[in-house]
Amino acid sequence: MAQGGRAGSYQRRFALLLTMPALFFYTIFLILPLLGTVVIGFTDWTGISFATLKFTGTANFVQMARDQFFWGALRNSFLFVICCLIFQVGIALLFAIILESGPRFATWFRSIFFVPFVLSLVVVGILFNFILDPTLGIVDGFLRAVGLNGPKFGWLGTRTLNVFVVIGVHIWRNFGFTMFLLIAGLQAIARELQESARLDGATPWQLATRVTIPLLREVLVVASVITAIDAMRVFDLVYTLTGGGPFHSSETVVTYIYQLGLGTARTQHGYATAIALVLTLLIIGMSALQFTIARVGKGASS
Amino acid sequence: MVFRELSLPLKILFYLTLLVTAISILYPLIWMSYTSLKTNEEVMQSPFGLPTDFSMANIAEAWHTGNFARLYANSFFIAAISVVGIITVSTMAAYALARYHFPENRALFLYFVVGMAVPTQALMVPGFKGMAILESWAKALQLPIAFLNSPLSVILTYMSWSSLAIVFIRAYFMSIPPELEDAARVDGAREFQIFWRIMIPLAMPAIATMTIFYFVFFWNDFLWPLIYLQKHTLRTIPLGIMHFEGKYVSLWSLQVAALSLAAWPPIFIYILFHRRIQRGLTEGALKF
Repeated sequence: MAQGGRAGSYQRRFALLLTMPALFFYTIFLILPLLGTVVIGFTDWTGISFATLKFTGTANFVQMARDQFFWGALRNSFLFVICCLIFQVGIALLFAIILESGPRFATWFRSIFFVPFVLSLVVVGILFNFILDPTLGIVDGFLRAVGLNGPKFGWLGTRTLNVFVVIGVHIWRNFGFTMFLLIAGLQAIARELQESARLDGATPWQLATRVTIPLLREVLVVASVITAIDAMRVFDLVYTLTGGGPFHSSETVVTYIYQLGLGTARTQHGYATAIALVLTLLIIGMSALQFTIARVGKGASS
Repeated sequence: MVFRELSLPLKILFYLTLLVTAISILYPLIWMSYTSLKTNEEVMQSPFGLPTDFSMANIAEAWHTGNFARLYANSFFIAAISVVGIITVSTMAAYALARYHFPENRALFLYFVVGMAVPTQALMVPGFKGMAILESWAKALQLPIAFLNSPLSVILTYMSWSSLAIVFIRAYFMSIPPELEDAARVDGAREFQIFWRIMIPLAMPAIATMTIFYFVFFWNDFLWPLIYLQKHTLRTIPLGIMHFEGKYVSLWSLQVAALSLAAWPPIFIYILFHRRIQRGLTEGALKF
């Protein structure tokens, strides 16, 4: 750990002084709201003043268990996580391996795939509102040109379909970033190992599945955790593309929290915060689970 | 895998996949760009065709009616102040935690790490209420500070997200060999001078990476300005175009022009500094 200074009292005071500003902002504006989340989640606060705040025990969680919109939002969020883990990480891995094998224009492709990631999600959401527009959008225009029809109520207006469309846009924006994480991992892998396997006559498929991907495991886990957390926290894209509708059909956990706590309803602070607490635990649990799976897998193979 | 040793059909398949993906990314952006140069009638007649005569009228009108000068100023102000603030406090804390043995070191570090697991969106209700409480205290004390409907609330929220910067910069400080500062101490340098004159310049690569990472993050953030900034003069770019699109629903070309105004500056900056930006965002995330 710390190598430099001795623990003289002057140095100790200097070190503590240096941590104070960060400690101040972090404690007041992150840790306190976090503790607030834990407390308010167990109240029926409808949010005018603290005078109306009453502890209701687990009532919010009982309400959650019966709330079909909450379950719908949770299902959509998990769909998001699963689809992104399979397709976003899958596509990113495929492109990372292809581009690192040295085709022509590799740097060009890499840089182009990263472009959507520098755009804000709001810009991406609005852009796809135009592209997916049933009458003037490119997608339906193309389909009509080849004699097909888009969905009757539009890509974003059709229940169950709309969630997958939003997931597709999310992947469109983020896969380039995931690809960069994996490329960084590939570049760190010992070249000699791959080289010797190749000279031993391994096919490209064997090389990818038996040598490259196992060596890439650690970065793959990190990239998966980032992808899963990102998918679980999605808000901007849903807000701009569908607003959670029609009739809550594309709501995710974070948009539902917003709706209940700060959106049009703006009153159910206690209940919204209880859901936020569940979200926090889910995200922590999910990343812990992925790291554990990775460790178990490592132990089994080595 | 070595690309030139692949079989020809596989090569063709891979090139096609790359090309189709690249087009799926570039075409929407190109469509957006040329559509903002069309008139509204032209958009309605042929939504996908190229403009017959290029006109900047929509761009100019979107710039004025959308008040884009204001939006850019607001976004830049919030992102810049927040980044300078968070990088300053995080570098200080990271240095103390990396280079000094003191009894509270371990506990403080673990305390900061907690923040990396917290989804900040989950804090929106208590965060908003906290700012409302601060606002009422400021009113009671008759202080001339506003929290609600003020960029201050957004900046303070952003400045609490220091965990990643502290972990990242601390790791970099720890990789610097101790001989340099020991020598400086023998020469009688004060602790602050060692930090300011020797260690900060050495840690510049890590500090630059985090600066890019946080700036892009703050610039693109939507949720917190949405929660705190209701007044239209305070809107940031994401908030501004969101409202713009709602206001001019029937005027496609104008809406698309506004979108271009929001999309092009970041793309342009990316084209100029793509290597730095790619590295900054990737390395920052890999520390996770």
